Amino acid sequence: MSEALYQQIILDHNRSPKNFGRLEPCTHHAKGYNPLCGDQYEVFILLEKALEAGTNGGETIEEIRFSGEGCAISKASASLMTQQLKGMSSEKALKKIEATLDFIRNQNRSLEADVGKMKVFSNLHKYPMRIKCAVLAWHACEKALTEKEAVVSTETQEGSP
Amino acid sequence: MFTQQEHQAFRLEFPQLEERHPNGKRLCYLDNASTSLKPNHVLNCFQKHMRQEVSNVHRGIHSLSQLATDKYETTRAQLATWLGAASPSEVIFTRGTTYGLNLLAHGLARSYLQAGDTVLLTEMEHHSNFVSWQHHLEKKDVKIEYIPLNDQGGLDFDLSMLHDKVKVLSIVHQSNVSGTVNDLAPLLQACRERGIFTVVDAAQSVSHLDLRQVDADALVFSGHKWCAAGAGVLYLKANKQACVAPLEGGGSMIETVGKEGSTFAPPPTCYEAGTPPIAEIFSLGDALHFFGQHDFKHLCDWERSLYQYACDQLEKVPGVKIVSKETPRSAVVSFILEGVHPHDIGSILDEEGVCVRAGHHCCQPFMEAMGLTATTRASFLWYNNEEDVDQLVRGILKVKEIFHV
Repeated sequence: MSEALYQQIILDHNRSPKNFGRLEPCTHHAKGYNPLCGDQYEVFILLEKALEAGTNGGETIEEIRFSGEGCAISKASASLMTQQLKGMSSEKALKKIEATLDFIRNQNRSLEADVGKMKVFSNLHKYPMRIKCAVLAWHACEKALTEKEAVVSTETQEGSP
Repeated sequence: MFTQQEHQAFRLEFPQLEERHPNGKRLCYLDNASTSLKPNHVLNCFQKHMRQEVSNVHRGIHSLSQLATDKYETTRAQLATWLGAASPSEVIFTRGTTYGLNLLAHGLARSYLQAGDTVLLTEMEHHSNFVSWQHHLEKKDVKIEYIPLNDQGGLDFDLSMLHDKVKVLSIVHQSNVSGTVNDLAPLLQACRERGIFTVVDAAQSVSHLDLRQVDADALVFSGHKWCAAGAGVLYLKANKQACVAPLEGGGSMIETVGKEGSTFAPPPTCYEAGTPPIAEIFSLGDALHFFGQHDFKHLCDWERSLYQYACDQLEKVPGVKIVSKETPRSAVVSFILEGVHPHDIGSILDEEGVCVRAGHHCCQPFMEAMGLTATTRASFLWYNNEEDVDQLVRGILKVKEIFHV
């Protein structure tokens, strides 16, 4: 059972998280807390005007990093998030975040194809207490993109489990 | 001390110990610092009351109400004797420890503390003994100071902290993170000499220590950690009751009510507005009766030896480090395992049938002072046995295997 939750990819990202550390200066930033367990992360994003043709002058995530401390689930989720969102347009990233949050919170299996490596969390419905861990960084990132500077908590976010 | 057979028989008095973990494994309940399991005696009495004796107290003139009122006041008197109180009116029924602390913080802020005064707390407190003071003192010009922790997680106290401005000391008897027991006697004595109002949070110690040894002006605990169904007690010395205004107004707690104003009933009634949690309060008496059938010292001896076994076994596991080794400690042990977050440990232990708590245990200032964000906590009560400890240790070995640490 535990092996089903703690798959190798989660253990790897927990041990060696990608894009880990602060990013200063950045254009967008959010802090995410889980007051129940004390997990806390910060997400740093550098958005830049896209230069390529056909991007409608939108903005692209040039750089994204995270820092903080928490369990293997929250850390691996944050690490995978930064890998997935780096280089994406802000618009696309928000869609991706929405799909991922839906996938984790509601175990919406129809989204499995859209969430990439995050499907490693498809067993999380057996551990409802851990859903908050997996969504923490994603929710902070969503807030950072929409509000530039934000603080989120697992106990106040809309639609939290 | 218990023989193995006697202890096995004692365990049978707690029906939940016969249940399996929801996943089917043997239930290993090591979250007693959060709440305790309930013995048959308490459960049976609770059910009998709910089925046959329900009635409000201090209200009707009918017989059932009179019987309920008598039982309510008898329970108060029994608790007073058990606590060594001078009179039953020093025992106030509450919802639990948190309510008791809020009642005191609010009441002292309103009737006792003056602008410029200081309330002294410690870095060891549960959030209930931090936030209640911060909350009720918010609009008052009253400072809060803290006795700091030393690097072993004990209190680093010296008498200069009891300076002239200090009017209240509110302190935990036993830490819910480390199990450390504070040596209260000299501290309370020093406060008495200086006229400082003393509050003791006995939420943990009520199950493990003799509270008659604690001579404080006020003391609070909950029933649910101590085998009762719920409710709690605020012990408040008769000669200090004028310092503490009631927290809630309402039915029962009044003497006269008029449009221009109302007057309050004498203590303890003035602190018990509205219909109290009657069945839960009765269960406090039932828990007392249960303990009366067992030698408390006997129970504590068993627990102490089990605690020593647990600490020894945990320390034998490579990578496990016990947090805060300040002595004396009992019943509660927090540990960290290098390379694995407590939340992950908690999830894997749960799969092994072991119920522990992982996180900051509502003690963020303690965690901060110790340079931690979270720990895994195993907490014991008299009904636990060596099999529980062994199951915990096997679970930790499983964690190490999964995380390759």
